[in-house]
Amino acid sequence: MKKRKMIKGEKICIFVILLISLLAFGASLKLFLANPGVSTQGTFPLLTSSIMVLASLVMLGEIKYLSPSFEEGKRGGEKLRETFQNLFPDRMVPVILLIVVYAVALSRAGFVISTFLFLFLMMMLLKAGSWLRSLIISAGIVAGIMIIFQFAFHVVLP
Amino acid sequence: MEILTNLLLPFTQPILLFFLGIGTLAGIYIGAIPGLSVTMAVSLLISFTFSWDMLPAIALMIGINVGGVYGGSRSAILLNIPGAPAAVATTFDGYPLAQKGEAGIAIGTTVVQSFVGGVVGTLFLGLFAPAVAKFALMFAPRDYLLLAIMGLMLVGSLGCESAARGIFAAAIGVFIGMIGIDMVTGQQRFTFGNVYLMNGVSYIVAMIGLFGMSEALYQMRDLSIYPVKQKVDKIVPGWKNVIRYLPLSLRTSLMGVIVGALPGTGGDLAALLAYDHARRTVKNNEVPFGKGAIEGLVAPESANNAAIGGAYIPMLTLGIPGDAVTAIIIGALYIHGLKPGPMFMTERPDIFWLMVGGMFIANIFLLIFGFTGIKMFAKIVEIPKQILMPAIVILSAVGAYSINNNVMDIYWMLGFGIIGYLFKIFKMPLGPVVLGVILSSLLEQNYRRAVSMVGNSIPAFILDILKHPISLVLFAAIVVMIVGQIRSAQKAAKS
Repeated sequence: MKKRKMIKGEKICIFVILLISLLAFGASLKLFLANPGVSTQGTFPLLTSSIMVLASLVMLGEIKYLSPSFEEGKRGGEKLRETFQNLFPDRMVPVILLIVVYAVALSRAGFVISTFLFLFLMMMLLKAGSWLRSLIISAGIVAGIMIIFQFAFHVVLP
Repeated sequence: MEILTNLLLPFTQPILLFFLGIGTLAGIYIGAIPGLSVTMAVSLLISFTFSWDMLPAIALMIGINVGGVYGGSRSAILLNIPGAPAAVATTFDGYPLAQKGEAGIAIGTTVVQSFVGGVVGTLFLGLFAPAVAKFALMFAPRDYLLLAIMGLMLVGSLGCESAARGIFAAAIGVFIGMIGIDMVTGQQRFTFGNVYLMNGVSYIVAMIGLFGMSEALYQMRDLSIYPVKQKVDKIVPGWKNVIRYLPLSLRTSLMGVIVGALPGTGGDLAALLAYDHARRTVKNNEVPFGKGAIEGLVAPESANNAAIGGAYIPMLTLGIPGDAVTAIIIGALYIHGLKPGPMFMTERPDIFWLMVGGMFIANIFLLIFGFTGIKMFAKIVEIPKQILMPAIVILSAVGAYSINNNVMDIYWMLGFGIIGYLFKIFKMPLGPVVLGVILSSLLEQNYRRAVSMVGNSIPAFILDILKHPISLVLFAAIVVMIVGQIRSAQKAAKS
């Protein structure tokens, strides 16, 4: 592995990966034990999840050789804050929340309204320009998608 | 004489020429738009062309197939979103080229190489269909298993800083692919009683989320990076360049035909194997692989278009689809009263040779139409991120929904998008995850078949591999790859 500085949160990430791998291994073992055999429905998941666990352990071993990501003496709370800031800088939290709200709104408000509002709000959040410009561009994109997908290719929109 | 007449039929019936051209043009733009796919377009066409005459319907489908496989590379290069699984390998060097402002060169290269691959695939279909079909029949389940393992190992070693990360990514992809109802026993696996999960996780949802949505999220982290102005004055590669890369494109086209001819495998695996071949055999390339090497575009693009011709071989000579698109085309042929299979070439040589001629003409249209719209598409990359990235989010949602008209697919796509975003930050590769999901059922089903065939005995299974030449070669290739990766890891640890 290339020598570099550990990314803030990388150790936690790999521990989470190991945990997920162990959970997958546990579920696969349960499936396998219900019907043990060389070619039963639990065999391949057990093999695959074992590889996941082994790979996670190797990854944990590898990051030991990376230079630390935090300055010495930093407390746990500060490290967590810096990690969060690294993963979700600036507007990323509202961006992701807006995307989640859009996904939920699609089935309730329909494609046209949710998409138009999503585009407009996202462009305002990302400071794409004046509200009028964002309004016009949003309407244009929605119209373009309707023409290409619904009318030209008869694709059913959400 | 009759063969020639049928080969040249589109020239004597302009309507066929028209549909081949329209199909190719439509295929290019369908493949280029994230959210639309060739498989979807061809399946829609079955209903459109139900009442048509057989020949125009076949011409249109061939055109869309040929154009669409190439078209997937455009969004792969410009947006890092493969338009089709066959374009995953194109992102490795295509997107870095676009980031350097050389999207025009990248797209021009992919047009020419897709044409070369397409022509080679068509030639093999016309000249060697029965022989290639015979060779494909020699592949036993253990060989498919070994081929799929090879494909995963290749991707696992590409573009990641440690083999363990690549292997983990591939393994988790394979695991995700196993969610759903077991094909053999009908038992639910890892569904937690959820009705949606009983159908399994669609690889297209995973692909759109991991590549499209995650890229959009990642780009939105830093909006201060302005889009790079794309150079689109030099799009058509010169003759010198074409000749220079010809030996590589011919080799990888041949690989594409053979992999495409194996039922159940397609352009995605062909492109990855070809990319790895290029990495191992091309020395002293101007730009390293993964940073915008032209060879990194030549190999996968010639292979994935050659795989089209390869996929038609088992379809027409054995009645077995070579990939998802040919599975749909077989349905269309049945609807029009044709019976693809061992007798097809003797009973309906006219249709066989028409399809060969049609495919060749579609590739010529690809060469012409492939250079259209490049400036327009290159402009897409220059759109400010504040507008482009939200639009990509919308296209990702539409694309995910269009698979099964199920809003749950959008939520899963979003989940994959967030996972992909975090993976990118922590330098975990995404290609192996998608390929793992795609190859999961091929791996497991062939493992279970191969082991069952030797009485569920692992020692007998290993002996079976060692006793058969094709299996032995594939097994040796995997061992060489493992040794190579261990050596690289040891070298990296020492330095």
